[in-house]
Amino acid sequence: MAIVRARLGAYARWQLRDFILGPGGITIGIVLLQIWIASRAQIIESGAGPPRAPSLDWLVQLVGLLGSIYATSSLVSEDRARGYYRFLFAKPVGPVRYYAQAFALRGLVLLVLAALISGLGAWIAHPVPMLGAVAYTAVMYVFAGGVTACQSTVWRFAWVGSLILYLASIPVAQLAAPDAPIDPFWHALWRAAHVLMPPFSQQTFLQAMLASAPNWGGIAGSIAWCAGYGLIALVAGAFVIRRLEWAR
Amino acid sequence: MIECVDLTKTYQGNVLALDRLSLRAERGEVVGIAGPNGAGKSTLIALLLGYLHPTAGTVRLGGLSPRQYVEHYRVGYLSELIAMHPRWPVDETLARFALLAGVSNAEARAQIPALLEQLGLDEHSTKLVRALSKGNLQRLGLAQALLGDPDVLILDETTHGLDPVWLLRFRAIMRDLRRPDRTMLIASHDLAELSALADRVYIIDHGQVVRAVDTRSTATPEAREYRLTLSSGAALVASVFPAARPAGPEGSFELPAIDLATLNAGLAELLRGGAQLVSVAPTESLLEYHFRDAVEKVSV
Repeated sequence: MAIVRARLGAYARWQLRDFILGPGGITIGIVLLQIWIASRAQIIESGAGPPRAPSLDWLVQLVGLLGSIYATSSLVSEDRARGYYRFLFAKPVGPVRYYAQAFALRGLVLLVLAALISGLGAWIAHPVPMLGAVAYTAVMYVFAGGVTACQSTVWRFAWVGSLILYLASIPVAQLAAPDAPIDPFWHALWRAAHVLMPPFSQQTFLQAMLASAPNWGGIAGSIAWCAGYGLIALVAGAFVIRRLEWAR
Repeated sequence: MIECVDLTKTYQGNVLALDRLSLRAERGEVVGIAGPNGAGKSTLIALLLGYLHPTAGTVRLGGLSPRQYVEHYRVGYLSELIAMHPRWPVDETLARFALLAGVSNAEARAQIPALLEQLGLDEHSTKLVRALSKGNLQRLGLAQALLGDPDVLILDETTHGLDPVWLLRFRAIMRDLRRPDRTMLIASHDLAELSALADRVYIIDHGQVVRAVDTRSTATPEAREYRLTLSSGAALVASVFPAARPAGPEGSFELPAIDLATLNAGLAELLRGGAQLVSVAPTESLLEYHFRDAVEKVSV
C-alpha cells in the first residue's frame, strides 16, 4: 500500500478563506473602520501648532493583543464542538499539522494587517514604523495567540480564559513587584505566580517596539519571555491535540 | 486488516461502553455491526478512527494504531452525524475533502463529477450544505468518504434519512464498493441491509460481542417461526399445526417455533389433504433471529 499524504499546502487557501470570512474579516473590518475614523479625527493640542490626525499605535496594539486572541479562540474548539473533525481527520492529515498551518495563516493575516496600519498611518499623519508594527504583532501573536490556541484545544471559550489571564496579570504584576509593600512569604508566592502566568504585563515593554527608534536591547528580555511563553503554550497545545479524545 | 482484541473503553464516571470486545475484518470482507441503542457501536467506531483511546485492549488497522493508519493511508468514513460546514457549497466541500484525501487535481476533476452523478447530487452541486435535505446530506457524506478510493471504509448508519428509492440505490452502490483489497465495516440498525451486504455480522450489546453471524451460512437454527399462506385448505391447518395462529388475510397463519423436519412433514400432510400452498417463509431473517435471540439472552 502506498502512503498517501493530504495536500495540506494546497488546502491553505481554504483555511485562509475560512478565516477571512469569519473572525479575520471582522478584525479587518474593525481596523479599516478605525483607520477611517482616525483619518477624519483631528487632535488639537493647546499651543502646539496645527491640528493633526491621531497616531495609530494603539490600533497595532489592539490587533496584537485582542486580534490575536480573537483569531485563535476557536482554532480547535469549533471543529471539535461542531463535529467537523469526524470527516477532516478520517483523511490522511495529522491534526497537529492541520492546526499548525491554520495558526500560521491566521498570524500571517494579522501581520499583513499590522503592515497595512503602518502604511496607512504614514499616509494619514503619524507613521508607525513598519518593522516595529510587524515585529510587535508577530511577538504578540505567538504569545497571546499561542496561549489562546492552547486553551482552544480543551474548551470553547478560550478568549474568555485569555482575557481573564490578561486582567489577572495586572494586579499580580503589581503584587510581585520588588517594592510591593507585602509580607515576604506572600511576595514570594505572588512572584511565583507572576513568573508562571502568561506575561501579559510585558506588553507595556513590548510597546516600545512601536517607537521610531526602538531600543531592541532593552526589550529583548520581554520579547524572549513572551515569545518563549507562547511557544511553550503551542507545544503544550500540540501535545494535547495528540492525546485528545475528539469524540465525546 | 481491522483487529480489535479485548477492547475496553470506560468513560468518565465509570461508564463501561466497551467490555473486552474482540472482532476482525479481513481484506475483501464486508463486516456488519449491529446492536441496540447504547450497545457501544459509536464508541467502537470512534476507537477505530482514533477519535477515542482504549482504556484497555488493542485496536489495529493494517497492523498500525488507528491514527497511524488513517494519517498514512486514509479511511473512507461516513458518520451517522453528517457534520459539514453549513456555508460550504456541495462541489466546494468535495474539492476541499479531495485535497485532504491527497487526491491529485487530475483525479479530483474526474472523481468529483463522477461521484456527484453517481449519488444524484449533480443538480445540487452549487447548493450550500445547509440547504440540503437529510437524504442529500447523507449522499454527500458518502461521496466524501469515497474520495481517493480508500482501502478501508467505515460506514455508520449509511441509509439514515434516505427515501425508499435511494435506499435501494444505496444498497446497489454498497454492493459495488466490495472488492478484494478493500475492507468494509458497516454499522447499522437495519438488519435487512446488513443481511444483504455483510459477510459476517457482529451483534454487540452492553459493549460485548454477543454473537457473530455468518450471513452466507445456510445453517438454520433448530427451531424458527414461519408464516404460511394457503389459497385453499385453510381448515386443515388447525389439525396439522395445532399451535398455528391466523395472521392477516384469510389463509395466512403464523406457526410457532418448529424445526424443519416438523415443518416439512406438516406441509406434506397439508398438500396431501388438497391444500394449495402459496408461500411459506420464516417470519424473520436469519440475522433478525440471531439478533433477537442474542440480545434477549443478554437482557435476561
